[in-house]
Amino acid sequence: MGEVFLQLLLSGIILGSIYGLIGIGFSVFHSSTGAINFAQGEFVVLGSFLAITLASSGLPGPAAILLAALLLSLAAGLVFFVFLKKLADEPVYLVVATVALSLILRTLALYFWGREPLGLPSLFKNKAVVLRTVLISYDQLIVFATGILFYFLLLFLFRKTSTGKAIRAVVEDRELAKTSGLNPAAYQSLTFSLAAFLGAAAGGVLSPISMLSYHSGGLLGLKGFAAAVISGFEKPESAFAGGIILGIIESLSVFFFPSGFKDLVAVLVLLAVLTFKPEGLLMKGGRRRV
Amino acid sequence: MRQWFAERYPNLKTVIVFALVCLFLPLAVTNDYYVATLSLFLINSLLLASLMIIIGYAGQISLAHGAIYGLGAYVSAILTTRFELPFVVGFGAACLSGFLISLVVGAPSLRLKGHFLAMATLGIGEILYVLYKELDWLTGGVNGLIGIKPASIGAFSFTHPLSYYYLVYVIAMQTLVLIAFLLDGKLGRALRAVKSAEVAALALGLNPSYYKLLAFTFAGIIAAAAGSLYAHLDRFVSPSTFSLSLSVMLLSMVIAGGESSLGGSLVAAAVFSFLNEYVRQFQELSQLFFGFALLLVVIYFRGGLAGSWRRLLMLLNHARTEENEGSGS
Repeated sequence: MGEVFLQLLLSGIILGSIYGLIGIGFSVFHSSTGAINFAQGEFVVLGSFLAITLASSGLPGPAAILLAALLLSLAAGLVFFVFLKKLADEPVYLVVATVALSLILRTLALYFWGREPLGLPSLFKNKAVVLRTVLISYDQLIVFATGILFYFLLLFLFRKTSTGKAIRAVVEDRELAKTSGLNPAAYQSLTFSLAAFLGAAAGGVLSPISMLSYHSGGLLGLKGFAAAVISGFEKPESAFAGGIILGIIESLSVFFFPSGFKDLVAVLVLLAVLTFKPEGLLMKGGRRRV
Repeated sequence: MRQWFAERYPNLKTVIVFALVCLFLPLAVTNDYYVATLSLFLINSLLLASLMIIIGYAGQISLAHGAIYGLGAYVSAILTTRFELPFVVGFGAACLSGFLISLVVGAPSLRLKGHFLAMATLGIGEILYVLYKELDWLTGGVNGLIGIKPASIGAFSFTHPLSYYYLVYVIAMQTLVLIAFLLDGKLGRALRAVKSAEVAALALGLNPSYYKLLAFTFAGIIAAAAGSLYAHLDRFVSPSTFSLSLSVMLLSMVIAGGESSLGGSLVAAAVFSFLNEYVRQFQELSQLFFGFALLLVVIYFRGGLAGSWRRLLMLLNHARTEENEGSGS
């Protein structure tokens, strides 16, 4: 019992890091536009697929993952700056546009990579560490490490750098930011690009431990969003903690639900948080109500 | 008098024209398959008109419309086929299920500012989809539920496609008239006020979350009713019909029709039904078309068909007055 529990707890934390990374992507974009990016899950899938293609053309695994994430974030930033920035003043339409984008990206993923689930080979020749009787692969450790790394990078970005401060200024008062010489559209494109990078990086490091198929983006996006809701959206980087919480709840839920229903847990958690504590479990301040 | 009616009840006028056209539509086709397609067109018009209320009048995005449609279909199919209850009971239970699910999803998320409803509906769509697949003793699982009984009222069974068309016709038109009445009346005005100036509406004593929830549940009931009609038309339901893609396609068609225009939605329903027949051969790739259509309309043709139509009328009017002025001088 103890060992099973520990094993589930650890795999929950590792999957939770993925949800956390995706959640930070949601949060960052939401904070600069007030909109939800429905294509966030598709970035994860494309990050994974692109890394697989790059790796199969001879690039070492980690380089393929990084390059895929960079390429996707560049493309996302361009798409936002050229097409989507006109919608920035009307979040409803921006949300609709990302819904359309997600359908397009999912269909393209099907067209180029096919119906079968795909994954990268292990980055560390299946090496693993043993913790008492529980086995943790290096690939799993790297997922968690990536999550922690980005958590601190973003903390640094938002608190210490002028770019991070400018993003927060755009979030708080777009008009004022404009009059102080900032270009909101540029910063919004930047957050979209950052969201794509985080999603794609999550997909890349997830790839060696779990195969994804072209339609996996829907559920992954939903879980990342739940992570952001749990942490309360206010501080983008704290969505990482939300992801870990969700990962653990989901992983331990196998004690109560048949595994076919595992994916429903995230949705139930999401609805429960929206109903009983819409400001997020990790926030202290007042309620964000109409 | 005619002028007054058209100005006071613009949506009702649209529905009356629509009802007249649809009354005679089956006479234009000869083959039973096409009659069934026409029934599907009426069902789609209910789906799009109800989704239009959520988008255009409540200013919200729902990505569960296809799933709630599916819920109505499954509830009605299971009750009439597995439990041998009459069609009327199945239809009523479908409507009730649409009401309840909308309440469960809408009540928490519509209190919040922002687009939480959109994500919550995505979640509920996902839940329903999993349930359709996993509860195979009840739903038939991935293979779907076959042998659904035809609709019947009393001893009369609607087995002939033409008789079923007119059953759907009566239900659809009653529903559309109800929608038009509500939108032309106090409720429509309140919803428009809430959508365009939420704070001002609040000051007038209108509770925005109440009106949004009202619109959302009303639309949910209609979607589920449409689902019940669909189940007894095709007499087969399977999970893949009600996936997220359907909800996104419906969203794209409402936006393309003109997000707050009932007439636009009805035209979009015709286009959608026709397109669906045509693009079926491309399978999933056809979704690329709907995705790009949605993106293009949102970015470049805001207002959709209805908006363009209005602009065209304005241009024509403008040209006519100029002409009159020209001949007068």
